[in-house]
Amino acid sequence: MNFFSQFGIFSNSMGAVLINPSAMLLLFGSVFMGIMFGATPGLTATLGVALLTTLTYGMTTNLALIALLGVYVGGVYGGSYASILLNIPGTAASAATALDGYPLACKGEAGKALGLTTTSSAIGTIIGMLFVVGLAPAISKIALQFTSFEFFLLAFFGIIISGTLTSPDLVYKGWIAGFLGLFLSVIGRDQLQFYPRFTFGLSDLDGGLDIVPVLIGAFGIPQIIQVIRDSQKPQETKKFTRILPEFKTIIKNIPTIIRSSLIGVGIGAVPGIGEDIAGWVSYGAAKNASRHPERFGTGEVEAVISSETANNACIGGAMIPLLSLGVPGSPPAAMLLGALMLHGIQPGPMLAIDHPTFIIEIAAILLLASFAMWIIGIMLAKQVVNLLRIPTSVLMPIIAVLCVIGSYSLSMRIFNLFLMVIIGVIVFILNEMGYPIAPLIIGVILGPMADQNLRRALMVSEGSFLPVFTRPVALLLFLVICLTVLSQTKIYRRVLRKFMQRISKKKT
Amino acid sequence: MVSKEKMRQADLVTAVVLLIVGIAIIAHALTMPMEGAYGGVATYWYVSPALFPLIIGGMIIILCIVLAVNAVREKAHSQLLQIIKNYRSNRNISFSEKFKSSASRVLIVIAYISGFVYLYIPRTDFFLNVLLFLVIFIGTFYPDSKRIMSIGAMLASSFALLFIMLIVTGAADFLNNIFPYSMDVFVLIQVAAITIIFHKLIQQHQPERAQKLFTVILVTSFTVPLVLVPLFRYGLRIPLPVEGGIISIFNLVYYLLR
Repeated sequence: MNFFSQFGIFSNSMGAVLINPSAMLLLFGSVFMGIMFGATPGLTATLGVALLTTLTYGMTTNLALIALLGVYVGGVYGGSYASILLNIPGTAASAATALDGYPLACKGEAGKALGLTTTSSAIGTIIGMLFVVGLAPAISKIALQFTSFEFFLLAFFGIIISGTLTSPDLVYKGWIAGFLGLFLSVIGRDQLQFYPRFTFGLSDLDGGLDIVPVLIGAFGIPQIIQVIRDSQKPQETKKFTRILPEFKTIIKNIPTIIRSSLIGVGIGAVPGIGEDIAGWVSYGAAKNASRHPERFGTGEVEAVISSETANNACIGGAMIPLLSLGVPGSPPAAMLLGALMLHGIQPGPMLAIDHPTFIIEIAAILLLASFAMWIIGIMLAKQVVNLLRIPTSVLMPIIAVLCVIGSYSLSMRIFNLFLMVIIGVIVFILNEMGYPIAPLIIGVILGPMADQNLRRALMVSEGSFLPVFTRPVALLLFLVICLTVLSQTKIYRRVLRKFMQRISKKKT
Repeated sequence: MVSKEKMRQADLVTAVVLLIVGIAIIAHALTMPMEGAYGGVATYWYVSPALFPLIIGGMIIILCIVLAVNAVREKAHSQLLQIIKNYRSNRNISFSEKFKSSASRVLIVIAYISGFVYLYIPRTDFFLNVLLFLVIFIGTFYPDSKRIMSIGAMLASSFALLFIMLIVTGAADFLNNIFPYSMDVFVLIQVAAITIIFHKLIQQHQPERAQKLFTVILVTSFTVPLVLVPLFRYGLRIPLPVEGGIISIFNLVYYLLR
């Protein structure tokens, strides 16, 4: 497909949404819902996507994508409201925004801060979208050359890297969480020989664990328990009159926007790493690059722009491995993968062949969602802020009911509700013990890919692991996995320190 | 944030528990066909369904050993033993009020959600279940009073126990044979009783906010199922888990109006 035909499809996709009133209503409604989810402390974009998946099941794929991407984009942006107005991050993605957004609000510039986050989030989403269009098809083409060994190693790499980077405590805990996720994925009849694994004679387990109740359980139930345990009370929000788009300030900070977007896309593209890390890394990079780093933390405009641009650019970044390799880049993208599979779309290298226009359609929806987010952000901020006044003890049981009906509705099995609660309680306990959720979820999602491809690869090579060392991409992935694991050992650090000391001695 | 010391103690506990899980995974995987023929298809070790679970179990075991060794190096085992010894010698060990409060809130939330999902949803009308769950949940936590919270939790567990007794003794089936919606009536009675008790409790403990609190509890508890049930049942055409007395009335009205 050349550029013009791609642009034609892009315009047609946008036009199809723009001239369809119900699609537009859905777009604005889902973005608004996403902003509400993001703005409410305790609720996340991932949970928003998870709960909406049920409602979109009966829709056409296009309408479902509009709704799901709308919630995703709105959810990541919405976190900035609570960060700026309450100094409580609505989502982990906007935690870095609170550092300078709240001091700005204390100075009486809450409207300005929200204007900045709205415009920079929209720009971040659009830049991320451009990377999706530019990179995803190219990576898909390369991935078409992959054999089963590469896919197995890629899934394994996703779990290892996600465990390494998301673990709040020891890195082993992230890896254990990843392997527990892989274990959950092998429950049920295996896809090659149809042998029942870990079903214990229960027919409900024969088909394996449904992804949606597992994800709703993992993200929803622990959140409800934590919020009620901490008994957060609604606080008085900082006042603001109206929100201005702040174009002048944005133009002045173009280098920050470009740098933050690149960081956001780059981090989003790493499997399992979410918008929160993108926000923090971008904040740190902006502080390092600033002429006045001492102003960071006191209400610096550049800081707010950097974190908000990065976390929204991360959406595009997370879509790149999702669409090209079938590996989700972030927890909400993992949920999106589950939703796409429910609609009969299997993201991965074959996506460009099975659905040649799909990536461009996604890009068009992302662009429209970012515009919708900007319009809602500028015009309806006060209505969103009202939501921050709802007590969590009233909101959380409603979310619990939504989790229940969401888990049940897709396959209409009460067993899925039982599963959701068990998974939710286990994940809550693991979370309290310092085990991250993201690798567990990535493990559940990538488990079937890892299992089937490992066995297929060994079937072709008749039990030999030699192709790992003879195929360049497989070897590269293998080395990266080994290096990631080794880099966490004390021996490696000791050797590296000695090596660096020797180099510095030689230089002197 | 949990201190590093306590985190290592927790690591030791989780490492042992997950080590057992890892061993169980391997033990179960070893019962799967490794070589020979399964379902008329020749099986080799490299296509065996046990291969991947064995890798997962093995990795969990290795990582748990590393985690446990790390915890032991940081003296987590001796601290943990000390805690157990202290607990044995002085059973009325005192926990901080904050810990007690947050632990009880966690247990109550888990109990409410579990009761809702495992006990009520499979047996009684979904509309009534949601109503009961919301009245109890919001009524327990929204007034922000320890007394109301503990009474709410006791009330909910008493009704749940009564419901379990009805099921275990077969009384539930007997009553359902006489009148098909008798368990729905039982839930309705629970809703009414709990609402009245909460109303009195709130008036006693939060007299100045009683009107507002009670209105929020009732309005939210009724509005949510009134919106969700028709949306899913008639909008998305999803049959709800159990369609008892109330949803039958909904059906009657819906098909009359259509």
